[in-house]
Amino acid sequence: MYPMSCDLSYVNSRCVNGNEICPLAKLVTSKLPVAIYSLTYNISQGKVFVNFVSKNFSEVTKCSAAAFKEYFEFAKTVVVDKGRFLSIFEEDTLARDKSLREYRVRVPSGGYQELFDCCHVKRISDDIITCVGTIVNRTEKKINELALRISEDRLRVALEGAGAGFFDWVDGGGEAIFCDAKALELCGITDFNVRIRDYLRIVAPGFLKVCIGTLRDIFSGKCTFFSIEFNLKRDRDRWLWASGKIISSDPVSRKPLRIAGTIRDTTVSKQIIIERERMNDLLERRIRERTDQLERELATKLAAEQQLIENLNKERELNNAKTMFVNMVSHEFRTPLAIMQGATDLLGKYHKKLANKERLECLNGINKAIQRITRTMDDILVLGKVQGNQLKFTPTEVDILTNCRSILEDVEGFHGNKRTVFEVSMDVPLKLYIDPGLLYHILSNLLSNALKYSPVEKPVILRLDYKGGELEIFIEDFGIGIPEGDRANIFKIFHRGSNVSDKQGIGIGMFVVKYCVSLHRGSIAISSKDGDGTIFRVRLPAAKTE
Amino acid sequence: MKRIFLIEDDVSLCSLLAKMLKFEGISTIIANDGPVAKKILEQFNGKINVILCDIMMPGMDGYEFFECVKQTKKFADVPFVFVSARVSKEEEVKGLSMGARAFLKKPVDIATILSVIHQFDKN
Repeated sequence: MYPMSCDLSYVNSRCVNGNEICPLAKLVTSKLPVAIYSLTYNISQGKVFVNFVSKNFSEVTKCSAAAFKEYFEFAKTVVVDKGRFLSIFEEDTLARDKSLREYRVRVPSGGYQELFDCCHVKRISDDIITCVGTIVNRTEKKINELALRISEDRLRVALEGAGAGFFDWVDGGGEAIFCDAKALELCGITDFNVRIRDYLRIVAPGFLKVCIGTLRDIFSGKCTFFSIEFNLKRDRDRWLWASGKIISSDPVSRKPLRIAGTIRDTTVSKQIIIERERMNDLLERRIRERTDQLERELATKLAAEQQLIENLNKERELNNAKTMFVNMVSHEFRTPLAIMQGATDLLGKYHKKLANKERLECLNGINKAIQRITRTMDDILVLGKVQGNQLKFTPTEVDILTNCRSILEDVEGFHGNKRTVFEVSMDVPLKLYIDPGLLYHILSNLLSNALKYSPVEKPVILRLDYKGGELEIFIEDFGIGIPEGDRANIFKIFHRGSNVSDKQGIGIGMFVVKYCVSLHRGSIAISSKDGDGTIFRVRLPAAKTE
Repeated sequence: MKRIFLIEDDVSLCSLLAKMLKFEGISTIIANDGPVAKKILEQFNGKINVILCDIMMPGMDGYEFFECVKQTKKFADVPFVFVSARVSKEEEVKGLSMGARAFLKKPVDIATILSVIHQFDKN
């Protein structure tokens, strides 16, 4: 770009006047943005004669060629640094033959231009000095250099502020990477001749795979940006963050031609993150533990509350049942008492008007009423024994057929109708080891219910069988049955079927039956349909005694 | 001759009462459950002086039967007396609040029954 001083020397020696320099200047200025001039300095006259100024002078320097020809005036009014401008005539310069000068000029349009002047000076005689020079306008370059310097300053400040180091890889350099001092310091590398594999050596083994993968992706052009955080091998508590991007790449293969980026020490922020995660984990664990604890407490409270509600409901049910029981007992006493009252009134007040047969009927009525009251009292007494745990299992040798027949006659006699079919299997032994008291409560209550809750024109079947050391008792009727909704509660105390209507009873018979069967270590099963009869099957362990 | 409508499910008690009332010159119409009693109400056109009714009965209880009586034109104004083995205060209050003239608790003697019959019949 800049004409060599030897060329200028040649020109200066041959072309002392402008006419001879003209063809050469034309050739140079047509190809380059260079202004050419030649001048002669007459020392004794104190005048500079500018012999030649190339036509592009104004275009290159933004100054007037005419002004330049008034050389000293130009130095005084246009050039900012006059001393440097006129230094070509100093002895030192003359001794060196040549001069390279940078000077600033004021231009008519305003502002300044930075000019680079390269000239050759030669003393022709004691009085005459000649000079040929070229001028290049370096204003744009200077501006660019300044901007670049500002940018560099800013970048350096930013990198220093961020504690970041810089790295730069250019294709053609093999594995060599340019790193600034900060990057080297962060990586703990002292050798300035850094290669890619050197960086891989500093990475902790746990991150090596991901680092190699990332480098492979970036160098193959798969991705244009990368960012990796890793531990240092030499210091596992130290974290570095390397991020970079492809600055330029091959347009065809897309492989990177230049990659640059920064390296930062993220140990503190990483520690903060790790500590924050640890605190979060701790907090979450404590919240979870507390939540579990609260849930357990809540569940316990709810269970206690539920238990309380259940207990209250049970108590309420029991109170209702007791009230109902008292009412039923009252009814069960008052009805036979009313019969007795009626019969005694009739016998007392209308005795003479009654026939003997009618008097006898009155007495029979009184007798039946007494039996009814007695049975109700017996039932209540049995209930008292059950609730007082006074009923005991005391098995003894029993003539089972005689015993059952006796119970059947007793029950039928009370109900005043004989319609029970008594069937006995051949397998039933004559004598069994059984508790006759418990057997009475079981059989009498079941038979009584069968007779009470079935029509008088239908039979009741009582069948005995003996299997596997157990006496099996079947009692079947064809009466009102047990509604499905009542079956689960049929053995509960004071419970009565929803379909019993006004049939006598106080709701303790089946409770006593269940209790006696359990006491006898036996079992009881029900088969029933609402309105279509009921079958009870009782099994009582009973050893043969023969 | 006075006529009493007696509704009582216990046949023995019913028979005893009917016999005593007969000796007192009072005739009785007898029903042993609510549905039969209701049918009699529909079909009978004679005079009834007093209705004596049990509460616990099969098919229809005494309270339901009383509602049926109140809905008839013929017998709505006939004095209605409950005679029951249900003797709690709640039952008595319920019966009287429905409009029954008296609530007799079993066992009740014939003198009380006759007294009630004559009292309401006079009124």
